[in-house]
Amino acid sequence: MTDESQARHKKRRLVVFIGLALAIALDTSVQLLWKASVPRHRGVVHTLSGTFFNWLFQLSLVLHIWQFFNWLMVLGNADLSFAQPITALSYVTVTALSVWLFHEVVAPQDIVGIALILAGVYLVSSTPSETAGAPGTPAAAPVAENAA
Amino acid sequence: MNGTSSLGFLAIGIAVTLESCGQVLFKRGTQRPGAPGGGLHGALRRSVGNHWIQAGLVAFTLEAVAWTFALRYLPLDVAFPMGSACFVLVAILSKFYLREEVGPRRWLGVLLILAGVVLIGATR
Repeated sequence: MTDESQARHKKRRLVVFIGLALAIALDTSVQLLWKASVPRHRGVVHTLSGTFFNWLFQLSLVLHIWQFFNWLMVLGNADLSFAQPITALSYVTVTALSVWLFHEVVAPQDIVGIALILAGVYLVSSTPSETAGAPGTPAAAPVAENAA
Repeated sequence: MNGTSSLGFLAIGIAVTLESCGQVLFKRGTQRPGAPGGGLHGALRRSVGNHWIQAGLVAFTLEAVAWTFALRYLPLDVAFPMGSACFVLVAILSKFYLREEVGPRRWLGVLLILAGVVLIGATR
């Protein structure tokens, strides 16, 4: 690997790391806001209209759009099967925020669940972030350009 | 299980399928030849007029409707863990459709994540 391609690889890893951290923060916010915006004990039409005209839902929509572009950036630099499982960290943040915001009690099973998620995310993150030679990776790009 | 929770579980099944397909469509959209990687600007540029990403957006829009109904009929702490079926479906689609290398280490990680999410959901 040349110095130039090594530097490019490092840059892609950094983009993926920042993008994934942002994805987890945005996903956590969107989930909490979305749930808070859904009205209870109403009919089908009111469930939809009540949700869509709630400012909490609209705020979650803005964060969702931000997440859309952020996620495309991540996918442009990493395997889907690498990036997507790592976003499971949002389950850990949602559980932690539920304790902090809503004073929920954490059961011993929750601690085991969080430990399993952290172990799983560690395992996935220790695999190569991109399949070598896959379409869209730097190694594959010259071939694709020649083909075009 | 009563009628409303059955509807909730049906809505989650539809949402999980749409979510997984949407993710795969987005990934295909970022695989344009000659335009690898890039930052946020690259992501913006790639998404304009990209049919894969447009199809992905349709899948996610329909998923939003299904997910709203799931949350209407089920509590978030039931719906959110059940949505984790996406991790397995996405790994399968990534391996067999996107041809990504999903080795034993990545599979084990995905299964540990799935077990953890289900365990958190089971305590509520």
